[in-house]
Amino acid sequence: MKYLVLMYGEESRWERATAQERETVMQAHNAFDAAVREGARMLGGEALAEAASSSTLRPAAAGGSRQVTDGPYAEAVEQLGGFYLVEAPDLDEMIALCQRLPDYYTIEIRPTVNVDL
Amino acid sequence: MTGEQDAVSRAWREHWGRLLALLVSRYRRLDLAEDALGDAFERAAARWPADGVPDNPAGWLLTTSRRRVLDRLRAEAVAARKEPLIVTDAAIAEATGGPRADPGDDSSLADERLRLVLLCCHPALSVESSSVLALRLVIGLPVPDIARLFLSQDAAVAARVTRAKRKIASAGMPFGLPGPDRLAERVDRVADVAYLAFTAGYVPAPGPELFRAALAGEAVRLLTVTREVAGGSPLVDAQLALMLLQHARRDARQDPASGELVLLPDQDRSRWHHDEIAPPRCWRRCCPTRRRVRRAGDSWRR
Repeated sequence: MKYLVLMYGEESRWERATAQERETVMQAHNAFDAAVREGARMLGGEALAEAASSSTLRPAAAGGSRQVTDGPYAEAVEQLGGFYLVEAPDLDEMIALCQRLPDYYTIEIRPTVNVDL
Repeated sequence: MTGEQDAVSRAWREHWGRLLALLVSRYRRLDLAEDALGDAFERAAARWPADGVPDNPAGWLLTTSRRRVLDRLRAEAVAARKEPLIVTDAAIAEATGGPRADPGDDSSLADERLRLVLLCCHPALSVESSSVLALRLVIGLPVPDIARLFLSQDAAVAARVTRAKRKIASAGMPFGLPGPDRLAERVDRVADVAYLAFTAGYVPAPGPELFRAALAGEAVRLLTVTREVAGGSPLVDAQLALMLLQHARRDARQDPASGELVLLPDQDRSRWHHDEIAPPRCWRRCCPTRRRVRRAGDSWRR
């Protein structure tokens, strides 16, 4: 099954982090990446720029065009900071792999679905 | 109740959970397995009074439900015009080890039953959903009974069961056993689920009954089954002991004449179920150290 792993965290924490703390975070990602390549399949992943750099397109009124607004959809302390797309055998394997990610993240594991048309 | 009807309900009580576990492990389809087993019991209720109770009721039920599953799989296959594919899958499943020969044998089935309990009590499900699902699938209680026990509507319980089953399928929760390092925490989660159901039984309800001993009894059964197949842990042993000790006093808790609650010092101890509380005394003696018991106690309070 394919899972989208969404990582949420306090953005200022990364900004405040010392070089050594950043190194620890990077090591955690490397350990995750290595474990995924061993027991599952890494399909992709990126770190994201800060939420303030985001632009949101709201649904358009009938016949109209979309309005562009500044910033993320929701105001929250924890913001989406990065994602991975992983193919893993099942949820328990995916959970076990995610235990390697930096421990201050909130992690959402979302299964993907095949949409057959 | 005739002997045959009695045999059907006894088979339900004794075999539902293990037969369902066996069917799910074989066909990996929770929905199909549950429907097929329900159909098999319905057939048993119709056939046993006329034909007599088979020598091996569990075996009869397993064979009947397997036929139902295969019928449904074939029907689905025809609908999808992919029959050869399914037949191949079935052949592979047959070759790689079908169900155990004797469904009456507890030890060979222990794994499958534990898998089913752990699936229902997966941490990715809410404790409330887990307790409803476990009562439905492991204990085999019908939805209206669960609704009555939780003072809920049939439709609400049915929807909760459906949502939980859908999540199991869409999130890819495995019907498997976690590694030994994670098994203990998963079994402790079963204890949480059982304790929620147990406590729900002692929450005051509208109506003349102060508490619902039947729900508490089912919770005790869930944990007993788990302990049977997974073995004990300090938390599971201590919690089951607590539940049994409390549950054994159920008949003495309410004054039969006034309907008022009777507090512990005033209870008529002759109405306690002394036979039920013999084992935990024995476990208490067996508990390795006091520290471990205290740690188990801490996790009740969290």
